Amino acid sequence: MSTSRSFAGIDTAAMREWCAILGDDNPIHLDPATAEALGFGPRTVNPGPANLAYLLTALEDAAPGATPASLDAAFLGNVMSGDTAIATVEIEGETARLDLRVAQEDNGPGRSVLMAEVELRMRDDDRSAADAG
Amino acid sequence: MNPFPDRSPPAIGTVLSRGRYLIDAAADARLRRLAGAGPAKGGEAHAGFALAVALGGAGVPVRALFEACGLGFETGPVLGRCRVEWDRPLAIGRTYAIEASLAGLARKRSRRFGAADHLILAFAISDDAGCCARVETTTIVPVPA
Repeated sequence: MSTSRSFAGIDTAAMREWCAILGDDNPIHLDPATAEALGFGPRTVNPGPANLAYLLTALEDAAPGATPASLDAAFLGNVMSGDTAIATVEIEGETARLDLRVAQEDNGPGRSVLMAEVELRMRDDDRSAADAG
Repeated sequence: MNPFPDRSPPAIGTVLSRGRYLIDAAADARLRRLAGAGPAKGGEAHAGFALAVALGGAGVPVRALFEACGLGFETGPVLGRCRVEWDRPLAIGRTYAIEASLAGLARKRSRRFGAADHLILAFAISDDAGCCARVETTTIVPVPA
């Protein structure tokens, strides 16, 4: 099973909120001038945990009866202020493969910026319902 | 850039900080809004809280964890990898204890960053019943050319 969904509204204001939650004042997330001076281009860089949270939201949507048991994620690139991120979830058995890409100007998916593999665990109430059925 | 060039990093396994984090309903709703998620079901917090609790509940800002290891934010560090193991989902309305420790620090070379320090931090997240989740982050801290 494979599903996709997009995440828009990625901007510096949202990044400030993420940074407050994470206790992270890395200026590449907060100040476009610093991001540019450090070679990231003239836009702020979305925090990695925010990118991972988009994938976990897409997983929650795709597998509402399961919860993550373990996760291994590789951050391969950046999502920048103004970008739209596209999350894809593929589920096979109890393993989910997650992929986050940045939408291109032609609305096509770009290269992967984050890939993760998640082992799933059925929630007890859903397992009980499945056993009863 | 290392802001403390005369300070050696602590030994691997050193506990860097301890803190606590309450996932209340407002915190879950805020993270869900930012992550584009729907409302919580059954009291389970959004899975993204594993990293939010680890980093935001470490008791000190992320910057201080870096500085304790002789590193800084001046070169624009980015997250390179993370692993999470959940013994059980994190729950809304529960307070967690977090212990952050140094799990690794090595200088490596890559095409993307050139020379960079790879800082591995380990976070143990527990409640009154014991360990709930373990988080390990690898952050890539570029070294000035």
